[in-house]
This record gives sequence, structure tokens and C-alpha cells, in this order.
Amino acid sequence: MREDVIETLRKTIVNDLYVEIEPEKIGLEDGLRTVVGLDSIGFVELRVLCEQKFNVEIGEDDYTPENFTSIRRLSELIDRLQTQKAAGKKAN
Amino acid sequence: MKNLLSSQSIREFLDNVQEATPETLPTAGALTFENVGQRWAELGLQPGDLVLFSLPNGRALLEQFFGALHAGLVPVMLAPNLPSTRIKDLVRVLRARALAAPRLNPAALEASRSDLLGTLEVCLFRHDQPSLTKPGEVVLLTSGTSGFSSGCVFNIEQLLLNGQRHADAIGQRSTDTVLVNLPLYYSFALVAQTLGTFVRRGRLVIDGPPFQVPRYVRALAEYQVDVSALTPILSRALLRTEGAFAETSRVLSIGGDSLIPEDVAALLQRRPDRELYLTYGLTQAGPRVSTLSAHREPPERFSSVGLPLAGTTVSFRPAAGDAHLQELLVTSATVMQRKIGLVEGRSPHSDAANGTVATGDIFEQDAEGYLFFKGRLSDFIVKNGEKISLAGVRRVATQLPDVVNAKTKVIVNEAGDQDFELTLFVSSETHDYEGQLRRQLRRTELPCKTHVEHHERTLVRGHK
Repeated sequence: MREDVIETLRKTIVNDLYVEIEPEKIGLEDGLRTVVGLDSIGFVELRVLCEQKFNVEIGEDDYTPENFTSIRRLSELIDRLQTQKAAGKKAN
Repeated sequence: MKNLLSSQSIREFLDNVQEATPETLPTAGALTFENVGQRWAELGLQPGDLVLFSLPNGRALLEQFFGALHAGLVPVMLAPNLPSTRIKDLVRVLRARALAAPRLNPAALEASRSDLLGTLEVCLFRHDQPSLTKPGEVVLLTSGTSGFSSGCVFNIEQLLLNGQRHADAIGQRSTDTVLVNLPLYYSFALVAQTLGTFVRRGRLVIDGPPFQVPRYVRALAEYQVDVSALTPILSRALLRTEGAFAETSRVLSIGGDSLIPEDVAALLQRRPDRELYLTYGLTQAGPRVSTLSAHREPPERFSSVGLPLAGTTVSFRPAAGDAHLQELLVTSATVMQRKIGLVEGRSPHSDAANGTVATGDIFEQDAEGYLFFKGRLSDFIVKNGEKISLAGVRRVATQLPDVVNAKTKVIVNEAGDQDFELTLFVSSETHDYEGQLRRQLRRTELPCKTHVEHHERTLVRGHK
């Protein structure tokens, strides 16, 4: 799990999604729906913002409640997608 | 209805509530419906005090709702992502004594003090004047129809009665499992679905955002759901899905806004031999007013919202400014007791007294009593299945720095849904108005376009 991804996610939630919780109060395991309070549109925006900020594509199969449960789960998804993308580039 | 609210009855119901979401609030250390009242008393709350709950869909929210009610407090459910400026507004106009949520920022909310309620955080607020509510009451917010900062006060028995009438209208049985995937701060999800199931002694399964068709269909099968409900927008998402619709449930109801007849026909075709109900309601009425059993009706009735619920009568009055248009009035024992807070858009006097409410909606009724929705008088639109008060948006906008006036314009977007544009007339363009609006309005409440006008120059910005 990369610290830079986690910090970017925290800042994205607070600065871009206007969640009024201090970044340091958003724990790794805190539910993005239950604790952070994201709604349907909030999840859609978070998906788009992650694609932009981390230069990955989050397909329908990965846009699941499980992958968007917490910052930890989301950072694991981004890590995996970035790794896959890098491996694909090397193979080419 | 009162004997339904015994501790045993509530506990049995709550023990039957399941959560379909992969994330739930932690239960270790969380207060239950039985012991939350004592904690509120320790925090200084008195019977009749109004408490705001900003919690996600789930059993924890229902534990708090029933716990507050049982302790003589007056629960109000908020959208979990409500901006702090809006919460402060509600605290002031509703004279709320407390707010409970998983995480809070007491400084931003200008709380007099903060504390804990089990695993939840609590902000407490001081008011010089007495509470506006009394034990046994529940306040439902009227996000759209009367603005952002007002609430409808009901006795809990009224809401239970409305839930029972809805359950009767859709043929809900005591053995049914009901899926709630709309937000519980919607009166439909709380009253029609949750309290309707409570009255029926049925089983509730709660899901939450984001809505995804595969997940919805999976939940229906996994929890053997008999009854579920969607908004028109969600039902359109369902219809866009290719392939077999593996729904096993018996009843689907659609509320929130009118469904076009083509979608009604398509839903019936996709769910042959199943029941489809279209419902009409508004929060002030308690909320459900009428239901169409679409599966029993000919296609020419697919544009109707059906017959009034048992115990509900309707009448009409000429709409202001046009004698040919008739505004629907609803009379029922479930109509709100009174409105509290700041009522925007329409004068509170336009609501008829004594158990009758003026809906602000234009209707026609055929010879057999079926109701047909024809349009709205009120200053609100339905966007993403939610009623949005344009008067409320304009008020919020004109409170931004250097905004001297604000206008809203209703449009129909490419998908055929209502939306609106906002024009701000400003004396200075130095502010980030888009960002400020995003801090004060919920995403659904944001305009599709914001125009900023100053000295004959116009900037156009689009929201995502």
C-alpha cells in the first residue's frame, strides 16, 4: 500500500468532493459510504477523479462497492491497476 | 398503532433487519435502541428535543431512530453528505439540540460542545427558546417542496398508518422480505418501506448507494426479496440492462416521480406475471397518496398514478392564474400536523388546514377516480428522483459574497429529465462561485450550468 496514493485519496475526498471531515480523521478502514458519507453521485465522481489523478481506467468490473469500501481497498485497487498498466506497457 | 411501539415489538423488528452492503458501521461499542435514551439524557437532552441524525443507510440508523423516539426525543434524518452551512441553518430554524454522525467537525458546526454516543460523535447546540416539537413526533425534511430549511411534523402513529396503507395498497404480506435501497432520509424509504414493513412485522434488507443494476438484481436473489422499490431513473437504468432479468421478487413499486407509459409497459414485459405499482405522494401528506396496480390495468391507464389510498380523499381547486388547471388537495389522517422552519417558494398559508394539504401539483381525475399527473405549480423540480427547491437554491446563492440576485431556469436535458441553470448577478467576479455552491449544495441540488453575470459580461461554467 503506497502512502502517496493514500494521501492523494484523502485530499481528493476533502478538496474535490467537499467532504467536511479533516483529512487526518479519515481512517484507512473508514467506510466511504458509512463514515465519509459519499452518495451515489459522490462515488461516480470519486471514480472519475481516481482515473484522472492516478492515470488508470476503472472498468465496470472494478467499480464495485467492495473496491470502493474504504481508502485501503481503493488504494489497493489503484495499485493493482497501475501495476497492470505498467506490465502491459513493458509487454508491448 | 401505539402498542406496536413496545420495546419488544421494536427489538423483534430490528433483529430482523439485515444489511446488504459490504461496509457497515461497527457494532462493537455502538448503542442500541434500548440504551441510547439514557445516554441522551446524560448529555442533557429533554423529552421533545429535536435530534438530527446524519447516518448512512443501515440498521444503526434505525436503532437510533427508534431509540430517540422511545426516549421521547424527536428524530430527524439528514442526508449524510449535507454541508455544514446547511446543517447550521437547520439547527437554527428547527431548534435542533443535537446532531449525531459517524464523524463530525464541531468547530465548523459551531456546536456548544461535542461528545460521544457510543461509537457515534455528537454535537450539542444551545437555544434560548423552547423546542418546537414534543415527544412522539417525527420531523421529515421537505428537501424540495418547501425549501431546504423546513420540516414537516408528524405523530409517529400517522407515519405508521401511512406505512400500513402503502403496504395494503401493494399487497405486502407479513411473510415478505422488503429491500430498501433508496436513502432512509427519503420519506418513501422511511415511511412506506421501513415503517410499512414494521407494521406488517416483515423482514427488512437495507442496501445503500451506489445503485448498480447487477448488485440490485443480486440482492433480490441473495436475500430472497419479495418487495422492492425504485425511482423512475433507477428503473430506466434497469431497463437499459441487456439480457435476462433474473428478478425473483413479486412486487416492484416505483415512486419519486412519474414514470412514462412506455417504461411502464417495458417493465411489465420484463417482469411478466409480477406485480408493478406506481405510487404518488408528497412528504406533507404523510407521504403516500395514491397507487396504481399497473399489472392489472389497461395501457391507457399507464400514465395514471392510480387511486387514492384507503382513508385518503382528494379534491381540487383552481390553480392560481389558470381556471382550467386544477391543483390536487389531499385529505387524510396522515397529513402533517404542522410545518416548522423556514418555508420557501410558496406561502405556508397555501396549505389548507385540518388534515388537508395543497400539493402544488396539477392533476386530472377520470370518472372512475384515477388520478393523472399533469404538471407542477410549485417552484421545484424533480432531479435524479429528488425534489429540489429552486427557491432554496436561489436563497443559498444570494447569500454568497457579492451575489446581488440569482435566477433559476428549468430545462429538460438530453435524457429528457428536468434540470436547471442558475444565473448569479454579482458585483464582483473575484470569488469561486462554483466551488462555493458545491460547498453549500448537495450534488443533486447543483445546477447543470452556472452563469455569472457582471457588467454585461457573462461567464458560463458547467458543473460535472
